Amino acid sequence: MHELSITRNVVAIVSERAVGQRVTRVRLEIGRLSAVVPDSIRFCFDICAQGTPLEGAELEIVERPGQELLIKEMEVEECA
Amino acid sequence: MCVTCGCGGKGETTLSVESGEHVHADGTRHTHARGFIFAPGHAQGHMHAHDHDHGHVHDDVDTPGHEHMHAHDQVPAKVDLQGPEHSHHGQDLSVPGRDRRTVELEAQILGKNQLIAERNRDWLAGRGVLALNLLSSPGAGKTTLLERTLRDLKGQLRVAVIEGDQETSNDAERIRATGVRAVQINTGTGCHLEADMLERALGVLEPERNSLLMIENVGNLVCPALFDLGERAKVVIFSVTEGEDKPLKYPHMFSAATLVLVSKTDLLPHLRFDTRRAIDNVLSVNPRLKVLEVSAYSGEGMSQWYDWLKAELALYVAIA
Repeated sequence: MHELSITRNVVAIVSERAVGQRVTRVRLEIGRLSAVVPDSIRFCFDICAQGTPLEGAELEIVERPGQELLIKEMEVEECA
Repeated sequence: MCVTCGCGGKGETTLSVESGEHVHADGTRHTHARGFIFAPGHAQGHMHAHDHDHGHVHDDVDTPGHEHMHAHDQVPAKVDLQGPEHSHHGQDLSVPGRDRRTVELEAQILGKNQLIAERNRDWLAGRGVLALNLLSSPGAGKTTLLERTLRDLKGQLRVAVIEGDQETSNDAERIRATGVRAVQINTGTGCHLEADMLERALGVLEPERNSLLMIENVGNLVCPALFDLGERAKVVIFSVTEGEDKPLKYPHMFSAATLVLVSKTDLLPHLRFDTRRAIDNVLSVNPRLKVLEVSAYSGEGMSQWYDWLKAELALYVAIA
């Protein structure tokens, strides 16, 4: 149930860094011991991304050992 | 409230200082009937139902645009992904041929909560306030345990309490009835406390120097494990009515804790609860955990809990 909040955080952090650009892809690293379920993040992502620079972006989630929750990278293009 | 949470918007969490009085996120205070703590304004992030045609403008400053979820046409708590205004959903909006580049972020998703938690930890250490985050499922007996503890330790330890619940200030009122100062945090739809909520509650409560601060988190064995508040330790209350395998079902909470109180032991004669097996399960998840068996009703085992509190506070004040 906290995945929605996690996803909102992802969108907020990436939006902050993406000023003036459109985000086309985001890559997350989710620790298997982090108590965060990747499928739930995917479920929330499109909804949370609406109306932000992340709208329509592809979400990549890489599962890792450990507890870390990381936004690894984003792919951006300049807005027209 | 939430730096992170979809469970409620900035203005939605309320603090209740005394019965009926509330301090909102923007600092305004007002009083209304007990038991009614509601979300002022139209905070982002929560799910709600309304029946307009969706041509509205959102002016949230934190997250521009359309961040909150709607249930349309008065269908409560349902997210309509296929509605006419959401037909762009999932469409590739990128323009082919335009230059794309990859930017390394390496950003911690819960970094902001962690930052505030560390600030709280420093603040508490500066005043020698030992903060304990009390966690359990709903109904495990956190508040009853606190009431008994506060009454028994009256005159021995200085204690203040922060109560977290989705709604009502019932718990804070129960605590105040013992003569101890308490602040109620209502998280609205939120399922856990976050560091910024504690930060605001500390500002209102201003715990005394060299005292104990009990933070009763929202009853939930899942989400609160993930959100550091800046506390010194997490204490899990695990009642004998819950089943011996609870630590195996909710390992994250038990692995994050320092102490487990097996509570309601006065009920054991009426239950088929195997305490030995329950404790083995606790230790199989986290072998470093200290386990105490207590009953706030009969008082059995409570003195060990008090000894632990006194020893922790003495140690903390000595090193803080």
